[in-house]
Formats: sequence, structure tokens, C-alpha cells
Amino acid sequence: MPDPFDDFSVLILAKNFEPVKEELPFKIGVSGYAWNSIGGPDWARLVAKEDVNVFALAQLTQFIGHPIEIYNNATGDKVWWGQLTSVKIPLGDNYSVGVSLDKLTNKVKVVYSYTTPGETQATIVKETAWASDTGSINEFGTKERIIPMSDASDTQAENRRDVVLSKGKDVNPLVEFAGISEPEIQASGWWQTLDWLYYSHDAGIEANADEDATQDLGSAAGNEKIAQSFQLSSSTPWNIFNCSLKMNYVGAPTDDVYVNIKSDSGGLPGSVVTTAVLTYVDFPDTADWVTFNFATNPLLSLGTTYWIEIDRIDPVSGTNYYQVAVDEGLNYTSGVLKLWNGSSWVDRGTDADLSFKLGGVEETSVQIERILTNLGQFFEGVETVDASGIYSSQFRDGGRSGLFEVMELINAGIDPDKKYLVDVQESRFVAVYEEPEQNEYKTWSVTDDGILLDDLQTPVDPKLCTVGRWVQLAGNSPIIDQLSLTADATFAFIESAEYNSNTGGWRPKMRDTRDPIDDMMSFVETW
Amino acid sequence: MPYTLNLYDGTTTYDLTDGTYILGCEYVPNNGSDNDKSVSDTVVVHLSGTGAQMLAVKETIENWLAWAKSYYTTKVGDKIYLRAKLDAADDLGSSLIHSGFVEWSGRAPTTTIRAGYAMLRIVLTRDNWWEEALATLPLTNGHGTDVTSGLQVDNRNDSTRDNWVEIDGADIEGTLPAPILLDFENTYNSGDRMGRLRYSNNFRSNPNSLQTVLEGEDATGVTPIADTGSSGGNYISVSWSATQSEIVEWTIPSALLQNAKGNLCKVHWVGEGITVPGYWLRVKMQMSLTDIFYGAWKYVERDWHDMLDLGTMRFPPYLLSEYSSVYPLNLVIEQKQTSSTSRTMYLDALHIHPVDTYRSLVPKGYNTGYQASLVDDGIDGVVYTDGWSTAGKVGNYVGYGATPEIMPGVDNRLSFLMFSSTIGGYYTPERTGSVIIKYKPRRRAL
Repeated sequence: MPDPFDDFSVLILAKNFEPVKEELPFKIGVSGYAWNSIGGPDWARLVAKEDVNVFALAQLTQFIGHPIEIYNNATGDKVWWGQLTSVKIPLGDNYSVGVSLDKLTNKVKVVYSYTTPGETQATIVKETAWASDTGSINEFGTKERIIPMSDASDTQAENRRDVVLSKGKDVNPLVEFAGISEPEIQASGWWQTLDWLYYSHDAGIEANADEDATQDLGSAAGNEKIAQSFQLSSSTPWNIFNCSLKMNYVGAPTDDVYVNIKSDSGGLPGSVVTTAVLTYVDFPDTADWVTFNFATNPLLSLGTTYWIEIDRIDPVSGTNYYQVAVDEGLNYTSGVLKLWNGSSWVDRGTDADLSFKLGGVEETSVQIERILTNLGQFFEGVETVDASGIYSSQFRDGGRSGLFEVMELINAGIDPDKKYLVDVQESRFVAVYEEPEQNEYKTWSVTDDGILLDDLQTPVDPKLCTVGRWVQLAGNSPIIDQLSLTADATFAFIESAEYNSNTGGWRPKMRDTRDPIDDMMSFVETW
Repeated sequence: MPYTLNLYDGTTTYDLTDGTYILGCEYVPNNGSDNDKSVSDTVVVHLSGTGAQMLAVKETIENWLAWAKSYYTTKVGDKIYLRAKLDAADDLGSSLIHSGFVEWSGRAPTTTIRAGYAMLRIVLTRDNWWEEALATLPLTNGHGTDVTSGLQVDNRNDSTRDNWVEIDGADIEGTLPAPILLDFENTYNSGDRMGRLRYSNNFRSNPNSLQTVLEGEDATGVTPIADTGSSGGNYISVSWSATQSEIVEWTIPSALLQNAKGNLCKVHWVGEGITVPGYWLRVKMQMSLTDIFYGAWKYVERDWHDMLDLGTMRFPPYLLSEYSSVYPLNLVIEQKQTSSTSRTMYLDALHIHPVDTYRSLVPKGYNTGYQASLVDDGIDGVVYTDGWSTAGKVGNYVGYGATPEIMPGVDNRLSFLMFSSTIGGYYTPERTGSVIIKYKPRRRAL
């Protein structure tokens, strides 16, 4: 008979993951836990013996944030791992006290719209520096928060930041005036900790969006070509993908416009690195951004000067030509603008910089690995098993969490039509890999009474909470066959699963299916 | 009336059958079902005396029950037992009291108290079993027979060394599985103290016949490397470079599968993996060359020097109606890695231990020194070390896994693996220990 206390051992580890347990004067059991095919162990709910002394139970609150491991006593195998995130203890019938990691914040900055004194509305967006608490970070790991503010002064924003940090750096007791019948002890998987940090990456964009004038292209001998030098300002090199320029046509040109990325040769454009071309129909009659996508995407190096060279095919024409936006304010400090006069590169009469945006791309699998490596403060190591074959801009402005960013990339999958699965293993090593093939002849199956069989027809222990598998619906073939006339119900993919210690049952949630329990709860909430 | 019925706190006894104001009692113990951890009993105590005297008896018993609940909820203080013997010839049974209350019984109490007589009804909840006095079990292996003062165990299992102790089923009294107290003395004379200790009990899988070690040198097509410190006197080297391949294989004798009877067994690779980490291993079983069972992939992320847990699986990997004739299978270790990297591991032996119970004792710090003992007391649910030069017990270990138990009426074999205390917990084949096992025979009914 399933028993939440006898079936499992729950180990609370030290913060450094040393295999020791802080001993408690009562036994902790396991009410249930869940796994997800993206992230591995998802959540766990623990229980204390119903007659446990409340003061003894309060000792549990000191272990908030500690790693915990759940072992199956029948096999000695680990079945779930993560960290203790919340403890709530009932006090009487009407309220509860506890602690939770949800409110913890030990690194804060404020992004605010700034109102210049004397002005009636905010003029620019600013942000404070990050402020952090070293003691809290050493204790729990880094948990960041960005606070938005409107119409604030610098002092207001900094004060708000400092208040939030002061209140949030410690795990404060929570008092809720809502009765609970028994202690609530929750744990979360390590994958969730990617939500603790914001992800920023400066590679993939090199730009000067300022503009205050225009430069003719190909209207006269003095402007047959335009070139702007640049260097990558990012911290890592990146593959160039496109170049956007603010341009328009004048008159009725009918020729193509080329944009070449060139190496530097003695302070002037050198050999071609990559090329892009647009035809005349791609250009508007009023200035707007147009994008040139390069034929190849070479890696640009840091600390190296390159050139954007813009050229038209046809000879110069004073009637039919193109214009490019430039910045005479000279806001771009990493390069210079040159014009080709037919025989040499010369300075523009009024010095300026080109208005431009260079964009890069990177394979999403590389981006995933970077996010997990940089933001996985509790991970031991990362390896992306399978390349995605999908490329996207790798630039991130730091406004969203690592979990959000990595999930976007993971959900984009693998070219052409495969999904990624992610497993945070018991060693806290993260494996990112292509989902398994749906193989009709050697696949896992689920019987009518909910028993999971592996591809050798061996029953799988429900305590393993298996996810990330295609399963064949093994029972009741006539019904499945009938369903298959309209929709193939032969195979299903286990996206997530829960194990219930009280029933000893495993409940999977299949991909692209609705959970009847979730539907019911949604219905109840609506009413 | 029971022959003996009393409350006991380990030192003091409160007799419920006879006393200054107690005439006697009525008691028929209940039996709960096998799934119940507790059972409720009623004891009716007959009193005589003045009202104040009988009230004092009631309050004394109430106080005993209050202390019983205090221990049960906090695990601090004295345990309070109900001890009983229905007949003079019986063994005295003890059952831990969880809680209880006392009330006057029979006719209106004031009436009977004025008459100098009253009955008390004690309603209590206790463990759903009775235990007898603590006894030491005689142990046997190659180093001795029926030893109760400490039997040597080794860290290898071959022709001259035994990492197990066996208990004759006839020596285990009682009718229910009983928790044990394991006293494991570190007898390896070295400044490198004993760190972790893992042990398991086998009573379902013909413990005195089951082969629990597959020597590395017995694998198919390998070249043994002689080494007196290794199990069986040899070890082997296993190398690979493919992204996925089978790296070592044994023929599992039919006898092993027949004796195991489909039981869950933990498989340990004992040896050394000094190759660059970052690969997976799993156990497969094959019928001829055809896979019929896959274990879970185990990721090896560190440079390890002791034992690799390859998981728990059934031997054979299916349940049969009977095991008198089982087809021999091949046990294969398969590897996979994300790129073709050359790797080498050393294998001393594969240990296969049924996990009828399985325990892992992990040090918080300091570990177990030479001649100190690591005590896993499943009876009281505590783990500690003892026998230090400065006398005293210290709780510097934790244990996880099921409560260590022995099954009466059948032979039980406990197998052990010891690790050093250095970082990484190296497996040291030369380690030895000395084992004493105690238990309290357990029965459902008196």
C-alpha cells in the first residue's frame, strides 16, 4: 500500500550540495512530485506527520533554499531533486505563517522614465545601476529584479531600488490570514532558477541609429560610392547577417544597390567579406529603413575594422539616384564616413557618420547553451547534444529572464520539425537533446489501466515519473483505430507527469492535449 | 486478566494488574491489519480505595500517557511502552504507546467512588506489533560461524574475502520483519577514516546461493590484469571511442537468475573511471544478441574512483511463475557520448545486490575512525558513531533508504560496501569492518 513516509527518503542537503542532512525531529514524507520534459524535476509537495509538534516543524523554515533529494526506498534510486522553496505552517484555524523564496530579491535595479526638473513630462528612459546584497547572494544565490517606475527623478529611482533590496534580501516570514489544514512544504526543480536572473547579450547588433541629414548616392561624381567603417562593440564576435540603411530613391532609378562588407586596408575599404543586393523596387520614395541580407554570414572579429560600402550599378545620374540617411552629429565613435569620387576615397564636405544597423544571427542551440552556462548558477555543466539548424538574432537587451529567453529558443525546436527536450540530471548537469523518434516498431506504450511499458514491454516504475517519451496506446485497439479515422490517436508524447504518493499512481499529460483537471479548475474559477 | 501488564519508561514500571489501590485489570489486545502502523486498545483497571486515592491512580496513568504522547510527537524524552504477557510462560512483549486517555468506566463514577470501588478505562493507541527484548544475532561468513561479538567483513567478495554476513533463519525469532541495529566497527587501521557505508539485505533471493559478483576478468573476451588488491586478484581495462557502443559483457549464469527470482537488485560498477567525464552508461540484458531490457542511462560527470551506481533492475528483467529453469542472459554495459572521444575505465567487479532493504549511511563530517563504530539503529530510527577514544555517541552520519529489517524464518544476507573519507569517497578494496547485529523479535499478537 503506498505510504508517503515509508516509500521515500527525503534528504535536505547543505547549500554546497554536500551529501549531508540536517536532521529534523520528525519525518518528512512525499505527497507527490512532477517532472517535465523541459527541465526535468518540476515540483514536489512534501508532508510532515500530522501530529508533529509545530515548533519542530518551524525548524524546517531554516532550510529554505536548501537542495533536497527524494529517494525511492524500494530501489535506493533518486526520483526527484530540487530545492526547498516554501514552508507554511498552520497556526490555529485562521492563519498560517511561513517562509518562501518567491519574495526573495537580492539584486535590484530600477528602469524609469526621467522627468527633467521644470519639464511637464518624462523625456528619456534611464536605469539605475544594479544594487546587490553580498550576504544574501552567498546564502541563496543571485535573484534579480527589475523595477519599473514612471516620472521619477534619479534620487527617487535609487531610493526605490534601495528600499526593495533592503526588504527583499532576506527571507522574511509570511503571515497569511487564511487557514490551512496541514503544513504545506513545497520544492521546485532547478530549472526554475533560470527565472532568477535576467539575460542580456550584446552581440548581434552594431548600429548608429542617429540621423539628421541625407547623403546622395550616385547623383554625381563625388558620391559614386559611400563607405562607413566600424568595429564590433560587443564583448564576443558574431556572424553578420544583414545591414539596414535608411534610404529612398529620387527620380526613377532602375538599377540595383549593393552593400558590401569589406575588410580594412590602410584605413580604407579593402577586400570583400560578404555582399548583399537589393533591386530598385525595394526602395521607398521617402526615407525608410531597408534591409540588405548578406549572401554569406562570416564571423566578424573583435577589435578589427570593417567597412560598409554602398554602391549602385548604374553610372551616376543627377536625375535618378538614391539617398542615404547620415548623422552629422557624429554620434558613432568607432568609424568614419568616406565618399568615392571616381578615383579615390575622400572625406565628406561636412563630416558625418552613416545611419546604419548591422544585425547578426547565431544558431539557437548555441544561444541555448550560452544562457544555461551563464545563468545556470546551480548547474554543474551544460551540453547541447543536438544542433538546431535554426538561426536567429542573439542580441538581448536584458529585460527578460533567462527562463523566458531559453524557453523561446527551446520552443523554436530543431530544423525541420523536431522539438527539444531538456533534462536537469541528478548531478545538475543539463542535457539538451532532440526528442526521440516516434518509432512504431519499438516504442513505449501505455496500457488501458495506465501502466507504462518500455520498448521491451517491461513495466516502468511509476515513481520514476517518466516524461519525454512517445508512447503507443496499447489497449483497446478497435477504439483507437476508429479514432484514427479522424485523428491519429495511436501515439502520444508524454510532455509532463505527476506522481501521487497517496495513490501510488502516475498521471501523464500528453502533448497538445487538454488536462481535464485543469479544465475543471478553470471552469470553477470562471464561476 | 493478563499475567503481566504494565507501563514502562525504560527505568520505572507502573503495574496495571496489582498495586496498592489496583485490584486487577481486563485486557485483550487488538490486532490491526498489516497496513496499520498503529492499533487502539482498551484496558479496564479495577480500583478500590478512597475517592482521593483512586483519583490519584487515574491521574498517575494520565500522566504516563501524556509523556507517551510527548515522546511520540517530539522524539525527545523517554519512550513509554505497554508491556504485556498473557501467560507466565510467554515472552514479555512491549509495544510503544503513541497516545491515550483515561476515563471512569461502569456506573456513575461518583456513586462507585463513594462505595470505595471504581473502574478506569484506559484507551490507548500503540504500535501495531509487540517486541521482545533486544537480542544479538549470530552471524556467519568465511571468517566465522555464529559469531555474536563482531564478525569481520571485507570490501571485496571473492574466494578469500566476504563483504557479507549471513543470519540463519532459525535464529530470527518473531513473525514480522524486524528493524535491526547495525553496529559496524571500522577495523581498517588507517588515518583515512571510513566515509560512506552502503548495505543491503537479501532474504527473498536465495541468499546463501545467489552469486552477487560478476568479476571483471570473467567478462567476455577481456584480458585480466593481475592485481592482488583487486577482487578475484584481477581487474580489466575497458576502452572505447565511438559515440555509442557496447563496452563490456558477461554471460549471466542461469543459476544467478534462478536464485534472484526476479528481485530488484542494485548494480554497482566497482573500479575506477579516470577517463574524461561526460558520457552515459547503461545496463542491458540480451537474449543471444537481442536486447530484451534497457536500464536507465546514467550520466557520468565526474572523475570517480569508487563505485558507479548503474541503477536498480530485476534479475531476470521479468517476473515468472517459477524460477526452476531460467534461460541464461547476457548482461551488457553500453556507453554513449556526444562526440567520438577516446575513454578508458577500469573495472574490478560488478556487484549485484538485492535490495529487499537498502541503506546508505552518509557522513556529515569527521566520518568513522579506526576502531570507532558506525551504528545504524533502525529500532530507534537514529544513526550515530560510537567507540571513540573520548567516550560518547555522536550523530555525525545520516541514513537514507528503507528501515533496515530482517525477515524471520528465512536466511538473511547483508552485503556491505565501504568508502574512504577522502574527497570523492574512494573505494578502498582493503577496507575491513566488524559487524554486530541486534534486533527485537517482533510479533503482531502476543
